[in-house]
Amino acid sequence: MAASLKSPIVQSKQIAKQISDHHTEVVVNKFEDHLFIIASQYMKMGTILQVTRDILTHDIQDNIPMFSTKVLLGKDEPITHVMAKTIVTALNPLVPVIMSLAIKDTSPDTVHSITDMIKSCL
Amino acid sequence: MDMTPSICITDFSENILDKSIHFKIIRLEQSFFVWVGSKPMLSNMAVAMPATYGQIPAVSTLFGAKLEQISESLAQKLAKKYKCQVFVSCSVPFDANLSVLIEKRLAQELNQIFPSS
Repeated sequence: MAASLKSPIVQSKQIAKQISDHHTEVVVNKFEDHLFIIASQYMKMGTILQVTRDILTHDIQDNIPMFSTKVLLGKDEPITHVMAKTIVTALNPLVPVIMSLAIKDTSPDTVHSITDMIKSCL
Repeated sequence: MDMTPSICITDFSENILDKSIHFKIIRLEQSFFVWVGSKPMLSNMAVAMPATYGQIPAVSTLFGAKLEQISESLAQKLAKKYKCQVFVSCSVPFDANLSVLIEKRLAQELNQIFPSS
């Protein structure tokens, strides 16, 4: 019983907001080797992506992070990659990201609001 | 404006065979995610969905090593029992005795979360 009372080994933070009439929820799980982010307007996992940082030399990269996205499960549509890259570039995490996206409204404003929600959970 | 979240996260730990095993269950709509591990790593992930025809749920590994297939078999069992999409990430090294005890402890917790099943 005592073990259950301690703070969990993997920290999870969640937040729920109304973004342009859609109930939106974000869950961020901080694993040591991955960041597992759920961003959902359907309360489901939806499309699951893996986002990894590209390795480039410092001269070429010029401090601008580049990321590769790969759809692991779900619809492999260009918009999904765009959303994942936009969000992860803004977060600039040190570890690879596993991202679950189930978004009704893919407008830039919504994606930026979701990014802010994820940032508040980091 | 902040709203009340409907996604439920349950964390618990248990000492099983002298190992401290940690669990995380994230309950979504008509699906849930289970993580089991002794270290805070997300080394693999499997997904299982109940089959439309037949008894055995369809299962696949999304990323990570599928060696030993602990995550896959656990996902399959849970998808069959709860008749929904299940995501499982289990990074505990394979041990026949340990796996049984982990499944038992997990079932105990899931039965509280889904009392109807």
